[in-house]
Amino acid sequence: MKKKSRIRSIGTTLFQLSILLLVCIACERNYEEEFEPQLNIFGVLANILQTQEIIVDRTYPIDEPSGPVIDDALVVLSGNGFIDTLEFSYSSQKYLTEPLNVAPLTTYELIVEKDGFDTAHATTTVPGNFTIFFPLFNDTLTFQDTILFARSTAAALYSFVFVHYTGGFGPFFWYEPDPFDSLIQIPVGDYLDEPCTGLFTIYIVAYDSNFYEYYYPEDDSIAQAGVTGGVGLLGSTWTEATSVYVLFE
Amino acid sequence: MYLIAIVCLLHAYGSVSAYTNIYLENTTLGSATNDKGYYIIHKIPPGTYNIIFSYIGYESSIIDTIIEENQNLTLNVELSPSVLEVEEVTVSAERTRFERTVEVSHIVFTPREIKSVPSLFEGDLIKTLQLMPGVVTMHDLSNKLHVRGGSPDENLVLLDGITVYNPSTHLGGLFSTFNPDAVGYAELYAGGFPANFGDRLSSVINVDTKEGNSKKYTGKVNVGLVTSKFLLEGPIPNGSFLLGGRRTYFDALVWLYSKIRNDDISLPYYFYDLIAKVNFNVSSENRFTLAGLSSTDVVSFLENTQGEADEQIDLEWGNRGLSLRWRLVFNPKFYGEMIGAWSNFLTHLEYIDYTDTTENLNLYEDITDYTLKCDFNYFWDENHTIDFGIDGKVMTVGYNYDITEEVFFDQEQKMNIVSAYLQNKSFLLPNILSVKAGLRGVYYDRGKRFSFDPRLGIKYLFKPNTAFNLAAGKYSQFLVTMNSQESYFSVFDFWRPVSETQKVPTAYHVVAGFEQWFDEKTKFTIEPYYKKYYNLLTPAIDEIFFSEPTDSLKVGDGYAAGIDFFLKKTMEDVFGWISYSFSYTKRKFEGGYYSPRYDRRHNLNIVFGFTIPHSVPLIRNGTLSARWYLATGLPYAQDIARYRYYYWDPRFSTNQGEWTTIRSARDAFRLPLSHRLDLHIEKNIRIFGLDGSWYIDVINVYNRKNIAFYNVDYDEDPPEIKEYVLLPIPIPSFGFNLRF
Repeated sequence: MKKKSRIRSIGTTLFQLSILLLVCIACERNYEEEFEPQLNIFGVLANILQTQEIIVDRTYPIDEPSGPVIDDALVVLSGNGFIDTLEFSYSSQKYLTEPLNVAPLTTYELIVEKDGFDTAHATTTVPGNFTIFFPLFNDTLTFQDTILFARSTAAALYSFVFVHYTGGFGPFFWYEPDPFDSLIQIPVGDYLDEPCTGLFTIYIVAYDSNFYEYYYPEDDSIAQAGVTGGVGLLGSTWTEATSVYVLFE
Repeated sequence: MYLIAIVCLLHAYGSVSAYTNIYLENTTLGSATNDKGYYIIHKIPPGTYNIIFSYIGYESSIIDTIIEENQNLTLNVELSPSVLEVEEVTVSAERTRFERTVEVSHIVFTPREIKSVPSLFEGDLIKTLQLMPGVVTMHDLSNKLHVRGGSPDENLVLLDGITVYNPSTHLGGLFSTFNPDAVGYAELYAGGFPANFGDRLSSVINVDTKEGNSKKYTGKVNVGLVTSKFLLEGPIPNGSFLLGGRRTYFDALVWLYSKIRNDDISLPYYFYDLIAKVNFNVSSENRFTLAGLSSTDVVSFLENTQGEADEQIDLEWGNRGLSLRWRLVFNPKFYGEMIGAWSNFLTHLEYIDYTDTTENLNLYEDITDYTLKCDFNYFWDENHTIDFGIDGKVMTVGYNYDITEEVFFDQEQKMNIVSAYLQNKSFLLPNILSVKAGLRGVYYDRGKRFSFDPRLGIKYLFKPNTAFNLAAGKYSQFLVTMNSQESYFSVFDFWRPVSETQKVPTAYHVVAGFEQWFDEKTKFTIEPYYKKYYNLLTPAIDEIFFSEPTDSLKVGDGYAAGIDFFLKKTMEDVFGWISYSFSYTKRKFEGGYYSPRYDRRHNLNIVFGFTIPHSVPLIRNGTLSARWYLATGLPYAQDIARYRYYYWDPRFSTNQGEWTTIRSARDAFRLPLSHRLDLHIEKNIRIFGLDGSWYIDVINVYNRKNIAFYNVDYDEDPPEIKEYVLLPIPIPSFGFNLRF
């Protein structure tokens, strides 16, 4: 009798434990991360452009069909006394400024508003202007030469673009400067090895840190280079140029 | 006077028997063997005695002997399995273990349990271990073990003293290295393991093959759907031997099919295992055991074009090892065991392009260790035992990668580990309060580091059937795998020694236990635990194939906490268990804590088997067993959004957008609940005058489609999230055994 009672008691306890267990399992949350769409901005201010261009797009939850870029946002660019509400250009699918010559070491702010999205803010500081020491106008440049120029303040990255006098593009490469170099020296032969001769204009483009962060992210995180309240990039460049005779043999 | 005995179980479950009961009839003298099968009774008065050796499921052995004054008597006894249920044997080995040992989180498996648990194609030790409390598996086909928040490389796996570096290699992890027919004894320490084990952070899986039948030649042949196995046992002068083998033959069947149909199809894959063991008793005090293992998977593929060899792929991987064990009784109070072992895990890939030799590829990866281990047990008196030992390992990790004879890397890393331990087990209050305290000291030559790992176990038997346990300890690991242990699928493990500049991965365990025996065959345990990790190493990306040294690994911390419940009943005709684990695992490598992919919150397993009554036609007196599990989902990361990533090209000053994705946090989602029922039916038969049996397994009986993972198809707009199920239908398998 006592044994039966004990077995019944154990059975009851086990039953109660089972119910508790099932409740616990049922309460286990298969949670999902909510994703709120954000504005996706892309713009690179450049001193060689008269009109600056901004793309306003958006992010899409994975189960939502894609659409075109946003054409009815309020886009305002300001800085250095300049303020402009950008107009959308249906031909280029971008927002365009009034003529704007960006100034070196100037911070520009972009505000983008669109119903249904958080307002996106972005800032960029244009890299400083700089002086090219070699090659100068009409110099000859060979593989053995070294391109020499003063560091652009606030620049995190450079690119070198060779444009033939006929308009065709020649060699191209990127260069990441040492943070402590005040004088940039580029041994040409270390970066270029294709034979090429002719009259070229070399465009040396200095990029700000937002641009660097966007193209060389430290991890797989979302690109938010200079942008808050959205994703994308607001970067800036400063370009200097020199025309030379290239003799790459 | 002392009586010493080494007990060996024969035949089907043949292994050195831990916790066999021994007593002198009509006296109060008696005890049980220890985990090495060794046993001693002190202070026996001179006289004539019947010494009874009993173990559940085996015929008791009664030895009639005269014990004289100042005589030391040594007996080697072998027990044979009982044909009928032996009702008088009421005290099981597990029950004896409960009374005699200070061990928490320790589970022993019988070969019957391993073979009776329903399994895909054949019974498997690792599959059985996955049903234990605290053990998590990542999906329906996984053969990896995540024990109490640990990754698979934190498990020490031993087979006859040989370290098995990759126990789950066969057929993508479907089969483990352990031939189930050859397994004689298997135990799992899920945490808080004692000082005689080390070099891993989470658990110990210790497997011994059968001892081999020393009375007569016997054999067993198994033919299954995918593999066939054989096992031979028999006597040799002063000993016994065992030889087992297993091979898949899908490749041969496909070859035969292609010949019949004149098709050009082939399956260029097979695996095989060979296991061998020889026991040799030099004297009643000296016993030698030589054991060997060779386990290899082969993928060999030759592409021909118009009779000319075009390209060839040869991939081979496997475990192999050899051990020599010497069990020695120095004197009635002093017992020792010495093991010398060699172990190797090899992976080799060779690709030959006969049309363009510049594409030739050669990858080679292996780990080899030589181990010398000595364990000694000194029986101070009935209430006091001292264990001590020393363990030396010389290890080499080699990896080579070259393409067309251009060597990308070719490295060989050596490491030496010397460990020594001392542990003392005392009954502070006889049969009530016992304490096992130990210290393991380790010297690791890379960086010349010492580690002192204390261990403590306490058992308080506050009622005859109820005990509280406590275990705590520090654990160190000097060898880690380079491939991610969070991968859903991984066949190879690439081991590397912890480098000179890295801190040694360390874990601290605290386990509390409550153990209740309802009768002599039913036990219930509750074990809350907490485990804290330091200096864990993990690869920077999920999937690494042949890789670089450990310096590229990220360093992190972690912890695991949970509570395990275990109810187990073991009888001759009914067995089963219910295990439930609630666990919470977190790791941190750069950034905050996250749940690793094996962080399963709830995990319930029910296993039940019984002998089918005589009244059931066709399968009367057969065995039916079932396994059902219910588990909550594992965490995973998924693409949650996408956006156009615009490029600035200073040459053209134009922007082009390419779709890129936004991924969730790595543990932002959890897979849905999974559950599954598997069945196993086995029926004994006689064929051609021989004993045999046939069996049928059905996996996923009610066709539950458990989702293993999701993938996103970006060819669609919007992208389509696709579910992947590993067992899309109920999968039957069958086979038969023949014993002679």
